[in-house]
Amino acid sequence: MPCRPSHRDSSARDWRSRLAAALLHLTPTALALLASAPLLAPQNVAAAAPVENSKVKAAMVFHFTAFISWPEVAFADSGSPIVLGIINDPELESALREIVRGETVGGRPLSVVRCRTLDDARAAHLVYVSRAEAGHLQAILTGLGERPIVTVGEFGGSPNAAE
Amino acid sequence: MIELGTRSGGRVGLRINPDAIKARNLSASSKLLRLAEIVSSPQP
Repeated sequence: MPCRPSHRDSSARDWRSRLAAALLHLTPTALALLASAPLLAPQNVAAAAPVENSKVKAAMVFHFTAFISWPEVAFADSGSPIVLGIINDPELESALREIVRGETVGGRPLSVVRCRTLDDARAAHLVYVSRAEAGHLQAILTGLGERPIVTVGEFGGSPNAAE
Repeated sequence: MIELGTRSGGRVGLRINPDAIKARNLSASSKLLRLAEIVSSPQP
């Protein structure tokens, strides 16, 4: 007898397909809210797994700009953008460009740049270091020094988080 | 550094070192600090 999916299996698959399609069409604001929703209570993330969804990561990075204050000296003038530098994560970079389009934080526009060199990263206010660069993280942190730059990464369990 | 990770159940968690934030002349909102797990710099 051929093995056919039950009606219940088929419905569940349809439901999952519809949910995935709906998530893909969320507005950036709704996506940002979705990403922040799980953050209602601090939890131990020492043994955390990487965050796989670039759109969720991008929404988180976008949110950080509202929760961090930079000194005025970090900007050329009052209209200068908050520069978000991305090291080696084209998917996140693309998602973040979409999210920040037309947005401002504290009256400043947001700008997303691809960091190919340490100098590129030094010109940013927030630098996202992809998992692929985990082996270079220490060198990147050392290269950024004490500049007013927020570094964001996902290296669960790494002692580098304490720096 | 702000560290992202996924906890069991797919929820996203944060880990932050406030001392490192302060050392860079930045400030993190209390809301962000409430949401995150706080870690400390290694003692010299």
